[in-house]
Amino acid sequence: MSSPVYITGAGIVSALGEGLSATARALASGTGGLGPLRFLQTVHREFPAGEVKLSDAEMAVRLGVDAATPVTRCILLGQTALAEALRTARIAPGNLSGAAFVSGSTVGGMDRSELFYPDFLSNDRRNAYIALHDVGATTDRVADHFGRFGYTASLSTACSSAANAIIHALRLVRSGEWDMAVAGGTESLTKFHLNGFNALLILDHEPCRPFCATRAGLNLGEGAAYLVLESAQSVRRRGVEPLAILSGGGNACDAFHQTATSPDAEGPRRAMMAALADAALRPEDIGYVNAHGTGTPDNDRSEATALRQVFGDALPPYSSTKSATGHTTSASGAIEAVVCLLALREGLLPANLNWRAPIEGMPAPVTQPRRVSGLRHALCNSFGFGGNDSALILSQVPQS
Amino acid sequence: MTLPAPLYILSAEQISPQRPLCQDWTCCPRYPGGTYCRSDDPDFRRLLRPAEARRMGRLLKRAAAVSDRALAAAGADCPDAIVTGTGWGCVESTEQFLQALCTRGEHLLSPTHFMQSTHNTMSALLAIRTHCHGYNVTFTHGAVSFDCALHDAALLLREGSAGLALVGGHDEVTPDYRVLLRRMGYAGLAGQCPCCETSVALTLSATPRRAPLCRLDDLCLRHRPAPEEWADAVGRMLGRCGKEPADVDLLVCGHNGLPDNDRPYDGLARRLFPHTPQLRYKRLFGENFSVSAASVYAAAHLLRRATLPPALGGGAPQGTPLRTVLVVNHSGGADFSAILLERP
Repeated sequence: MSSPVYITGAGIVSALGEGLSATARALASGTGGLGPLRFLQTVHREFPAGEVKLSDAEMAVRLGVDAATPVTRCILLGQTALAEALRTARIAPGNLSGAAFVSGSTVGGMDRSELFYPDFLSNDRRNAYIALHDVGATTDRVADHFGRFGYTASLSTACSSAANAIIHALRLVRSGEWDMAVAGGTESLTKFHLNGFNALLILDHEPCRPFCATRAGLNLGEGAAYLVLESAQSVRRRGVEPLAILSGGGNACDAFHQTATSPDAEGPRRAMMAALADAALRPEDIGYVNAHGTGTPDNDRSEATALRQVFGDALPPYSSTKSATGHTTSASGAIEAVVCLLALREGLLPANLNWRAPIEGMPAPVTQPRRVSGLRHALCNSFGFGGNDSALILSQVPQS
Repeated sequence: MTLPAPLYILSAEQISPQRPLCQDWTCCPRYPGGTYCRSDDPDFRRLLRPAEARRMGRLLKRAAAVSDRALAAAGADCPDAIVTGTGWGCVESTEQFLQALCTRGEHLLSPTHFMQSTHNTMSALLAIRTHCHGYNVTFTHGAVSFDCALHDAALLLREGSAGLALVGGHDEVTPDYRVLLRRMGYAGLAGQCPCCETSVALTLSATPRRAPLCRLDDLCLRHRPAPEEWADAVGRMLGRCGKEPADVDLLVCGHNGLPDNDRPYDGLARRLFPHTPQLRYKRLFGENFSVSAASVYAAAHLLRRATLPPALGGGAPQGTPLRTVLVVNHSGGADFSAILLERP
């Protein structure tokens, strides 16, 4: 058994608010963040969304980003979350060369590209934004705001991007290549993917109802979150207090269809089993499951099948917090890993909002936030287009 | 101190400006001219089932063709893991969706173009075609996307989670995307090797089964190192593998003709490898976000041949034996990669 990889810091921004405290308060009170769009300029006002309640200009001012600097919403969200992650881990900016930074995204700079695309093709006015279009540029801009990380990398596996970024970072620390790795993801709302999901007919006009018999689709959200992962040696050397342990990660491929999940849920089941094996845990050790639970008929049916396959009749309390944040797509794996971290820290089971009626063969999810004691391990699912399915397990630090 | 566990590249295939799916470039290399050169595509009708190929964009066809060939050469039907690098993913689909969004507005958009616009479309397709339920990820990190993918695959194999990984680097350059790459000052500029396309697939194995092309000793990736730090990191990687700079027989490096791009290669060569012959592979494969995959592909096949072919020059006396090759790349001066390969 390899030595544990600790979580020593975290940062988050989502429709639930900015920061760990605001997020914990919203989760504890069962307050959701879905509502009408305010910042995204789209004709599709009919869909509720989990928009971050900060304008680009507000985030730029807080971060000290010069108003004249070309930037994207994805970068600003990422920097907002990374600032908190570094602060909570007590890592001084300018002291990052011993740390890796791994970030997941899919839209990258698409929020600007979709506005400026005609310029991109016809003139030089918006060239700075072409260079910000790609995900790698997004990652490096998020990172470079705080100093010089020793290594950066970007993953893009659609809605499981951030979870896979965290799994890659876990591997970097376990292998001994890096003592410290900050990992997660960032994603802003764009017309591009709002229209894409709309074309796929999987957006709900009502607030989404994951794992509910009446569910009719997902609501998109946005945000960013990062975890600071650290080896035991580095934790001792820096004298920091770990918040939790990242016990394991599992990645598998459904290998069924570009966007649909297989009815037998092979990918989701394999991802959860791989995470359990990686963490050397049994299903009965898991005290809470933060489900992928998008609210689409297909995803939730298939995830429910996988959960029953893994846990049998002993399914632990579960919920999809996408009912509160919206589906933050490429950032969701990190945002929900932070939700699991808060669940472990606060002894809190977050609620699956808007739930009304069970789906066949599934117990009800957690419908009201609930305090529990003795919560030791939380499983966090993230499934993406392409059948890219991943799961993470976060655990309490054993009291010595 | 223990040496990093060696891994083996069993096979490697390409579709690029060179003759596709073969190694003809070693004896009769093409030197693409101008500022833009698309890949020399094979006849996909002979390689892919028509019903299947109809639903695939150009980049997906290339990814499928090179991957099929690489797996067949490794004697494998299904890898344990699929790890892909791509800078911009399936650009053709992304452009079609974006173009429709900008011209027609937010109505009647094609779900197919959206579905294929994500970066992981290729990895997903390869998994579906090979029925591979194993580890599957896509890295998209500028011009070191492939290098990150190879690095991740190496870590995965070394931890024992997989025995055989299919690792790819794929980027297409459509006429519109070429305009964008030129405007952002990345590719297709005067004085620079042309903007080209790359699809490369290789199989990486934890064991040297079936006469590998070469051994992968180690990789080193760094973000914004100062020139001396980069030389130091590369030197230490060589040291970990029991080598000195003088043991490197050939430097495969990413000069493209632009001073800002070429400077870091010259700096590293000056510091560590002043007398080492260089293969400036972008003269053969051009510039794009995935071309570093072609550098590893080329190095692997040169190591199999054991000598630098006279057609490629490189300042080496004819017949110079190749035992150790170092492949160096960087992405816009921000992300640096060095990959140490060796004759098995």
